[in-house]
This record gives sequence, structure tokens and C-alpha cells, in this order.
Amino acid sequence: MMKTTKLTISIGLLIILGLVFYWYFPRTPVAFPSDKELIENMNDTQTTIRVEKIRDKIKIDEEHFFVPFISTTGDYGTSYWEWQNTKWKVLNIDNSGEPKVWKIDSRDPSTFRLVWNLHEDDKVDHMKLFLNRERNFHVTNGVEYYYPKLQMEKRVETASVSYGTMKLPNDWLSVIESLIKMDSVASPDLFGDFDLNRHMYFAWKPYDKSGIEARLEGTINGYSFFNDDIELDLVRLMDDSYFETSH
Amino acid sequence: MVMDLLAIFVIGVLAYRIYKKQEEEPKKWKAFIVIIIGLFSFSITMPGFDAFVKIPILPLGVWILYFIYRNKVEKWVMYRRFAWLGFIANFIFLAAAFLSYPLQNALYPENELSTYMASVKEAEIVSTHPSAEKQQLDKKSLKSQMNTMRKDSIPSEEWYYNTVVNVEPEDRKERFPYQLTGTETKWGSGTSAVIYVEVDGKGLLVWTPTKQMYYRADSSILKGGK
Repeated sequence: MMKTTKLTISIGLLIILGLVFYWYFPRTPVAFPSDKELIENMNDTQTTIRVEKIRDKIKIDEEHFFVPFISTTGDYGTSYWEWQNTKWKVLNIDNSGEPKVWKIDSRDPSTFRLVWNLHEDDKVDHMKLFLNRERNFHVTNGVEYYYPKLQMEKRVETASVSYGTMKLPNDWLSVIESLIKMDSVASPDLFGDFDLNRHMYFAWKPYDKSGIEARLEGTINGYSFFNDDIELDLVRLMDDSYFETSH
Repeated sequence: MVMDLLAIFVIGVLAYRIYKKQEEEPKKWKAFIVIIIGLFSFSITMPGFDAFVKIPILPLGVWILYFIYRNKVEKWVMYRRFAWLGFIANFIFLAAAFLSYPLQNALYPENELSTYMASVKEAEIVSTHPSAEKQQLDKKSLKSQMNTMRKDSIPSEEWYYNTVVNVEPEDRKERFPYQLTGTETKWGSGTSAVIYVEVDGKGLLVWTPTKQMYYRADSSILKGGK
């Protein structure tokens, strides 16, 4: 009698341990799901956006994918996928494809990705992406501060493929990293939580074939469904009153 | 940092002297633990000297030890001095913190460019504004002038308005259109700096966690381009 009880308990424990191990032990990602599986997954996750067609599956690293899609209502949307222990999970589904910054690790700007899926009807020939900070000055306790205007740009072709992802260019990275370093000295108790938005922001400007600003109708603010933790920042349209072009 | 080590050394010397003076020598590791417990104190925080100063007033650690040794009078006599040394150590650390200010300033003068730009081996120029021209860093020029650049005032308001007043956004030229990256601050200074380069290549705007400084050189640190 005692023996069987002991046996039952140890088998039970083994099963529980096995389950815990199965759920929590990080495993290498399995192959990324097929288009059909992705569409089903997204349409089951929320009810507002009905995904019809997957445009591409862009691998960012072993555990992150960017998936631009087209919805049944003709919106050009974006979705963000992450490998979580046992499965691929969609973190966010958005029915607008205007550029955004996906901060995969918010403390490491080399993991930031600019992503977009522009509506083909807007006929954007190319766009410029910007890293920006406005010119400013102030005096605090008799110490004068002057902040030079920052406007770094990168041109991206969008005529033949209207979606894509981009790493931050190296010169943007060195500018951002120097600020991270200074912030961590100024307030070490923040444990390296760096808020880039305190210093600068990303912006963009779409152009048509003749080089004038493209008018956006399809690529506009949409509905965004957050399914899990993700740091996703909007890239604002460049405000012409801050746009300096002198060469 | 250096002063903290000195403080620990002073406390060590005092502990050794107490140890030697005792007729009956106590256990070393026990004396050590008693000193550490003796450090516990209730302190009040007072503003002063550009910072807040914590002044210990109640020797909590000594009281705890007194309670533990309440029935062992001869032991308490043996360890009492170590307990009080622990409490006094708080003041030794406080004094060290005060003395480290002038030392910090002697090793890392806060107005010297060399504190913020000690090594330029990996230095590079990054254009941060469209009005920047395709220029490269003239490392030789930068190196030879590093120690002779003159500190100047920052007329921030004037710089700002001269750039924007009556100038359309598309015609604005930034006064500091470059950043100097890859420089290293002086070893052990614990500071960090973001350095912008003036359009003529002769001015450096150094932005540190506590302030901004402006330095001028006689000749440009940029070369090439047009």
C-alpha cells in the first residue's frame, strides 16, 4: 500500500516537472508559421482587422519577425512577431503601415528597426527617414546650455517594394549611443533605462516620382491592437516648420 | 574612491591598535564582525556643500551589540571599543567624502578639456545637420591643440536667435553641424561627454552630465571636402 502511494506521488511529480520544463525551458525557435497559419492566428487574436494576404515575412533576428499584410478592407497593415519559449506570438497588429520604430531591446539602439508598409495607392516613390532634435537653449543656475539642431537623414526607395525594415545607420547609432552614455552617468539609478524620446525623435517624409511631397491617403493613422509587451514608437511626419534643407 | 580606500586603511590601523592594547586578545574575526555591526546607525540628512550630507547620530549597532552581550560583562569589555570604532568609522567615511572633492578636482579639473577628451585615437566626425559639409577629422590638428584650446563663454541665446530670426527654416545653417564621436574621457573620471564641432572647425561645445563648456582653437580640426 505504502509502496504504491509513493510510486503514484513520484510519477505525478515527474509529470508536473516535465510540464514545467516543457513550458518554461527556452527552446530554439521552430520554423516560422506559413502564411495561412499567420492569417488564422491574427484573425483569431482580434476581431477588428481581417487579414487577407501576407506580403512578406521579414526576419529581424532568430526570435523576431516583421510581417506586412493587406486586410480584407484594403488596408496595408503591419504585425510584429516574437518567439516566446514554445510558440511564435504576435505582439501587435496595426492596420496602418506608416513607418514605426520597433525597439526590440530599448536599451540597445542597434536592435531598433524602422519598419513600414506603405499603401501602394499613395504611390510613394521614395521616402526620407530622419533622426531629429530641435535647436534649443536654456540657462540653469547660471550655466548656459545650447543644443544644436540635429537632422540626420536616410533616403529609402519605396517605388517597387513599398514595405521594408531598416537598421539605424551607423552614424545615427554613434550619436544615440553617446547620449545613452551621458544619461547613464547623469542618473545611474535609472538602471540603464534610456528614454530616447527625451532627447530626439524619428520623423519621415514621403516623396512622389517628381520629388515633391507625396500626399498620403491610404497610409494613415489606423487601429493598433496590442497583444503583448512591445515597444513600438510612431515615426512622425516631418513638420515643415522644422525642416532645414540648406546645403 | 581613493579616499574611501584611505578611510578603510585608517579604520584598519585604529582596529589594530585597539587589538594590541587589550590584555586578553579577542578573536580577530569576531572583532571584525563587531566593527561591521557597529557601523549601523541612524543618521539625519542635512543639506550643504552642493549636496546632502548624512550625519550619523544614534549608534544603533552599538546598542544591538550591548544587548547581545548584556549577560557577558567581561566579553563586552573586550569588544566594546570595536563596536564604537564601527560607529566612529561613519565619521571617517564622511571626512573622506569631504576630502575627495579637492582631490577629484586636482586629478580631473572640471574646466579642463583634457578631462572630457583624454584620448582621440578612435575619434571621428559625424555630420548631424544638412548644412554640414563633407569634412573629415584632422586628427593631427586636434591632437596638437588639445591642451591649448581656450575656454570661452556660451552666449546660448545669441547663438540661437542669430540662427533662426528672420531666416526661413530651409535656409537655416546650424552653428554646430558636426559631432565628434569616439573620444574617451580621462580614465577614472567617471564622467561622459557629447562633443559638437563648430562650422569653422575651431570650436568645441562639450556637453557633460553637469554642464556645457565651449572651447576655441586657433586652427580648424576639420579637413578636406568642399
